[in-house]
Amino acid sequence: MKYLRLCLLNMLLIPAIVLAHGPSRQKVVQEIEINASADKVWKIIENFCSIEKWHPGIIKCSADNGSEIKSVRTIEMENGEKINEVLFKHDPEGKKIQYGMQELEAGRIIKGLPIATHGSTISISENAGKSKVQWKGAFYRSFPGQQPPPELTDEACIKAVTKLYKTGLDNLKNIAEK
Amino acid sequence: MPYLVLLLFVCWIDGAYGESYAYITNQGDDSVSVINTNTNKVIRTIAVGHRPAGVVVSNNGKRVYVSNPESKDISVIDTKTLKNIKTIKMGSGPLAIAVSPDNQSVYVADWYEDSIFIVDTASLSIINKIKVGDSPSGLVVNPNNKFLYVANRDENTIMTVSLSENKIIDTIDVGTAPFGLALNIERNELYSANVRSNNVSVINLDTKEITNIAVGSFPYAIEIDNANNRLFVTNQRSNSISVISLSEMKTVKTINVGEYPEGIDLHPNNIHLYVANWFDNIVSVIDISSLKVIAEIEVGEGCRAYGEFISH
Repeated sequence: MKYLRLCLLNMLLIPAIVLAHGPSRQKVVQEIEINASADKVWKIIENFCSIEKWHPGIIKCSADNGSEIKSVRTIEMENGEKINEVLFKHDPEGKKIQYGMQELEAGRIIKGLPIATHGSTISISENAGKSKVQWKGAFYRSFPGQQPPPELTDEACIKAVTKLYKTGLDNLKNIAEK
Repeated sequence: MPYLVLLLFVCWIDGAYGESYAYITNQGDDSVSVINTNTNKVIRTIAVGHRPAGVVVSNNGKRVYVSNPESKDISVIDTKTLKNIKTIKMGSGPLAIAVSPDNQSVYVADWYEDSIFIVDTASLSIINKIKVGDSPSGLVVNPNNKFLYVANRDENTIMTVSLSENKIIDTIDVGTAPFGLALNIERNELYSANVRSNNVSVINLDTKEITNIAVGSFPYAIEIDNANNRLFVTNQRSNSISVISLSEMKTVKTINVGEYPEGIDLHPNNIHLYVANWFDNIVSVIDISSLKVIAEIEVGEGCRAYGEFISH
């Protein structure tokens, strides 16, 4: 029992210790024009967990406190990887959602999305009845050392995040323009 | 004719001593943008090493030292010619950079090797290496060059290094993931921006007593405003500057700036505060009496300007 407790304690401590990310932070910005009002687009994305409906790469989502600030959602990717994300800002007026990835467990590298400390913002603006949706994010590669294998480099991470944002925005456009 | 000579001479004096420049590291462009702070225009872009982040201007204004974490070196810029005059190989991950008050030494924190490299500015070579804590990220030297304070991000401590003995003489626990440091001589206080606990630790250097002050999300760097007894703190994730009153020991105001504000430095005129916004590639200029953004200057990709980036 004592050992078990010690083990559990260690498991709690490790993520706090290993947040070293020597590499440089990267950024990605994707935008799309949608032939629909900003209100209509906002309705589709406003619920923090609605991402499971409008993003084809995310098959499941559950949140512990809906779309309230600090609510934590768990999204499941097509490949089964699960990621926890915290809601920082939910602004219906400005039509903006800001969230960030919870720190990953020590040594974890997400398959297909090898990033860490991901902070992200989705915002909608309107001009002449059309909306522009911008999705942008900042992140580090999760490979901590100096010589990442090709699938874990900064470039690979930028590619993966760009794909994540782009497939989401493309499908958002499809749904909103229906 | 003598008048013209006199006029030229006056202009030259003015040019040499009357102007301050801001040297902004652009991490995505491998360059430094040089801003003339009289006009708030970029007058030159200088190529440096790979992924430049840290920067410090020597106290005599003659040189700028830039850390390049991914080419693992520092670039030395001559401010008269605005040329990169030397590249000095460092350890595995040079980031925070500071200069001694007498301009004879440059201190470089290496986050992979958990060490501080000391560079002699006459020979431009490494003369010493001091082991410190886990992932050293912030550096500040005291004015008599006796002590170097180091923020160890991944062990939540500030270490005091004795520069005469080249060893650690004190270790203090602060908030989680301390990054930027600032030293206030007038109050004998040291401040750390704690990225993961979203606060600033105020360390009383006489009593070693610590007070934590809540700021925005992911605080990064700190600037002291002695005239008004305040601190300015960049909050990366809140896209804002927290204004801390040191008499009240709390955040009294928040100024919205660009996205991911990082490096912050007060102009020697004590009026203008310069902030590099990493995501937007823009430097915001804030009037510290009105606490309003009065200018925005477009610089290079991923500006960071982590350090004392304005010449005095």
